[in-house]
Amino acid sequence: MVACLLARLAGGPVAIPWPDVVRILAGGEGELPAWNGIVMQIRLPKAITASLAGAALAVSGLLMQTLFRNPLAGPFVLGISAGASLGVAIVLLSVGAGTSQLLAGLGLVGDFGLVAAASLGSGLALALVMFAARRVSTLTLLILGVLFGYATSALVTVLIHFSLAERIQSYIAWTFGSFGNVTWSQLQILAPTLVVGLALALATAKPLNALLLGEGYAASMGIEVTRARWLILISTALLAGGVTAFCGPIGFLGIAVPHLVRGVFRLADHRVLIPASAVTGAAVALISDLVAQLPGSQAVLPLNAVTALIGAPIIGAIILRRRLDDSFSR
Amino acid sequence: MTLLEMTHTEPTPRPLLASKQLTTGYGGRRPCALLRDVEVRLAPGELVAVLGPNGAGKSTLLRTLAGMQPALAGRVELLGTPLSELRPRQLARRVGVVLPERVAPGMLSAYDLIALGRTPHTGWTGRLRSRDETVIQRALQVVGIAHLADRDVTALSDGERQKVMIARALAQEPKVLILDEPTAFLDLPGRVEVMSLLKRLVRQSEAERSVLLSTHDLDLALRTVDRVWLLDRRGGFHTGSPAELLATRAFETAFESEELSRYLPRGSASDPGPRSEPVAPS
Repeated sequence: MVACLLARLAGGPVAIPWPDVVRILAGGEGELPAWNGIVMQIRLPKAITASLAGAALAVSGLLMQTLFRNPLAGPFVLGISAGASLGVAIVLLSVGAGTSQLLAGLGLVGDFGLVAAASLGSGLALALVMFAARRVSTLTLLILGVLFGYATSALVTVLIHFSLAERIQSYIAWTFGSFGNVTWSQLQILAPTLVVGLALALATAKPLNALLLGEGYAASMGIEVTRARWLILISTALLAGGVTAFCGPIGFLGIAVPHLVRGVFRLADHRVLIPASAVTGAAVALISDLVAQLPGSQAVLPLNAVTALIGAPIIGAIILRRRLDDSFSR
Repeated sequence: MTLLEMTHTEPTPRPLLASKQLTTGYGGRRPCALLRDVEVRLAPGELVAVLGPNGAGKSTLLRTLAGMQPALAGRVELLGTPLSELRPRQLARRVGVVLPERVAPGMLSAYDLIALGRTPHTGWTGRLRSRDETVIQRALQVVGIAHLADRDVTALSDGERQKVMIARALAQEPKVLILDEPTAFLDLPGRVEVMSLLKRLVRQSEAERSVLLSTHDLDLALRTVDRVWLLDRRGGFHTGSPAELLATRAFETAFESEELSRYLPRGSASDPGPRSEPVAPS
């Protein structure tokens, strides 16, 4: 994880030697003055964002997989990213004059607009889920989340259909996901949100372990299931919602990492799985981001393409090795 | 005869579990009552089978008595305290449940699964203390699965897994053990083993413990249990020892089948246990 972090700080369009990176981090000067700016203003916030976001997505994916007892559940099954996409689509695709500024000002005012739109959208989706959570069974909740996803993507399709090509381009760029648009000041909002979400997740480790046997057994062993489900949903809301608002809908990581961790540790105890997923998620996010930069070249790949390229083989391998059956047979 | 000595004599001191004018069924927009105004008593050290045809409400009764489903009317008392006044954690320390669903989460050893039974006793992190470890070990011993402790539960047979689930319920140190269809999925030797295990659990416990189970294995249940709660599809409820209910042809009536007579054990002749206690049918 530390190695990934250092590698991420060193690698990029401008390769900076490791010793200089360490010296700059320690408050010193690099060999070239420009390196200071690159490391401190661009790469460090990006690396911190990637670590936190990777941890957040992996942990929220784990929470959802256990809550729904479904190996294909991930951070976004509840419609969080669908809601955020709708919010961003409305801003990017339908707002008139402001759009060009949004395009120009990535990292400035426009970016904040996107964050607000994504937060509002995912917040709305979560409010619906939370409202439903008290009234319906967990399985119904999962189905509602999927239905909500289809409904929002239909709305987004309609918006795209009536929109201009350049605006569609900027919307699509958002859906690629990126750790690079988060500034130090935004990180002051994102980091505490994710840290609180991770702490909440850790606090639900005991109910999550009991939930491995299903809600009926968890309740019979003294777990207040409704309350536990509520806490798990709030944690997921903070984690997945926070990441989506600031980095866009980053796929696959949240589904793949928990499986990777279960496969490596060969145990089901969430007191281990949660921290392990957080660390592994952070490392995978850093690696994905590094790969996306295509070190040694000026080109940049869409982040989601990289996470999917890493994630899909992992999930494929797991399915072929029948681990899904192991983890979730009833 | 130790068996005679250990069997309680009437009148029973205080029931572990009792209901007052209990009506069970499903609420919601169209409430549907299955049993009306039943008074059940589960005495300490008693092994009771809930029998009856499909749809008579066996599971609903068990779930209501276990506090997993609200009663439509009336109430259930556990050691004199209404279930509704117990917090989930307190309830889980007194009542252990084995559900009919098949559960086998991966990456979990038999020991770890049984350790989950300590959930109502551990702190918020779920960390096991030495006393918890002792209780888990004892549960493994009592159920006779100590050799399976390190095996992954997905690698166990249905019978072995059911014993693990029972050991898990025992790790809660319950006064009352409630099992819904514990012998479903099992082959005949497996069913016999589970039933004799349940018999041992009420006979051997120093702490007075009772076991309540539902089953479709009429024959096996009638040879094993102390008392039967018999339900029929019209909301009828009868209680008595197996011998008494056999004598009154209650099973033929409840199951609406005369053919049943040929299959049932013949009264007290094939009924080894001492069950001469007088019964006050509720």
